[in-house]
Amino acid sequence: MIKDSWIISLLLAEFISIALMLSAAILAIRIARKWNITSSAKEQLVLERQSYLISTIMMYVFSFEMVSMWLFVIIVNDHLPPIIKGAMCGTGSLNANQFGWIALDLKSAEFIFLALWLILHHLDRKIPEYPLTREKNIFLLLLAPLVCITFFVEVLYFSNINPNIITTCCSITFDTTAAGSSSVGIFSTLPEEVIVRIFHVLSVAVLMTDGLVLYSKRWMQTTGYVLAPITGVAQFIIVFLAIVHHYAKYIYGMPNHHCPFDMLWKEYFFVGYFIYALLFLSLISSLSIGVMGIASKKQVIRSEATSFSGKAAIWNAGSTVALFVLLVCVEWIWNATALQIQ
Amino acid sequence: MPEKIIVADNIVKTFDEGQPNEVRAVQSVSLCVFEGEIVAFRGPSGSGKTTLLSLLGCMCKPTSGEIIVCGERITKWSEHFLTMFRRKHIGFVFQNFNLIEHLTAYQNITVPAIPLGLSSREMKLRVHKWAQILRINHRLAFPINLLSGGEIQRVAIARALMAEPELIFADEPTAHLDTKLSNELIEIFSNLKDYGKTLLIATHDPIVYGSKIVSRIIDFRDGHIVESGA
Repeated sequence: MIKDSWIISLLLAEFISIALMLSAAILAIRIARKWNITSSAKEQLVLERQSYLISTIMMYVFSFEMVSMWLFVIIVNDHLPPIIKGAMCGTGSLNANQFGWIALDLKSAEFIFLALWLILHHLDRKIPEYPLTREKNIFLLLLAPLVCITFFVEVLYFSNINPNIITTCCSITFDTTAAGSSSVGIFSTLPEEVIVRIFHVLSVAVLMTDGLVLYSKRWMQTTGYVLAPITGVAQFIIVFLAIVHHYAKYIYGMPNHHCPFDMLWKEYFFVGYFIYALLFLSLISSLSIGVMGIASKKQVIRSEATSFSGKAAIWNAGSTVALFVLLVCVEWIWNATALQIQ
Repeated sequence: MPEKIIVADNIVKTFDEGQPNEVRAVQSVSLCVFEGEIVAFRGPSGSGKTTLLSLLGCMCKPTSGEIIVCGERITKWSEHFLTMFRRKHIGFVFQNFNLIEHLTAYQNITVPAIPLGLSSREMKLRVHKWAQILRINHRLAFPINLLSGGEIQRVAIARALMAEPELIFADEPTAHLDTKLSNELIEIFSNLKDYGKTLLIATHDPIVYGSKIVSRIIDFRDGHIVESGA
């Protein structure tokens, strides 16, 4: 399986991104240890220039990761199902061995953390003293192992796929009548109506949090920066569950079809890409409010961090509303169409 | 009462600190420069005048002390921000001009305007404005190596003025000029003062520091201010 050209391309792209990331990490060690913006020594000047190099590398790594994440989804959702017995979509491919879902989760986490790094970098570059450079480079040093582990798990996943072993696909994994496996886990036992209600309540909670972040700088610096990421993560989980349990059947027009991958296909107007893009945008913007809150503890950057958290709140609110409207519209269109048929 | 445009508080610049070849080029210098002034730093070669100009002109950071330029505390700024600041607020006329030989006078003058993102029309307007004031508009199409010493000097000044900075720094501006051209340069500096520019000139040429246009002379020796007066 590892000899497949798609997989080799993906792993090669990832390998390049790891090589870049590790080279940035080597430079980051020096910066994290020796950064002193008040110094007039040549070494500080060299560190500043290396810091620019790191930021360029990280932008490339992020771009690579964005493309490789899409490529990963394409491979598991389109390319592997015809090869693996029993697989009909991404779920079947990821169930081919124990590393599939872990690889997807790690890739998602990696993408989110890289985006947060870039947001932190953007904030740092707004202030002439670069007050977050040390913290940013320590964060990079923590990210480097995650990128390596993700690559390693991906290699394990692709190299351990046995096309002759029959895998379970979405109809079993996301069977809402029984305890599901992998990503859905214990939440699959929750009733559909409860999940949809929680989704609605959480969407309102996210909007209220964003409103308060925008309204009160003080509240953002004391409570908002903790609450926004919590509601954001909770919303991310619950939206995924709501899609699987409730909205998927409207997208597919079938009451027992709960797959989170099929909606990425052309047959369903690629609606999954819009849903997941909004979901990730919402999560990243809510987490970035948390990052801004932590950054605002430094007096020199407080004003910029607060202003940026306001922008993040607008993005978060916008993506939450768009996601809500999109999912409700899908349900509404289906119901309207069904009524017409009747 | 004019505003303070530069404030230096107890600045020290040490090169190769902690090394056997350590040099303390500027030692505990405090001064302030007001808007519209022409200040001459007078002192022998190696006294630290150029280093002081580099520090006040955001070309390098002091080892210790505080510098405020145009109301901004620049001492802790990163290289990138210093560059951005310099690009907007400071024009430099170097001792050796530092012009690009194979480019024409026009092209040399436009160099600082490229990172500013000016439109070609705006660039052209500015070049012609300063070329006319500095009387080099008839030589704009000529490569630098075909110009006389005085014309080269004026091209260097026009380049320093291209970004319309508030501050002009000139390091030994008459070092390569004869008496006649030096006097012409003094006249040009006088014109710049009328345009509201503040000039800081490092020199040991009596034609410059002895001229009427200089508001203040600061005597500099071994990295120290020895005397400061009108």
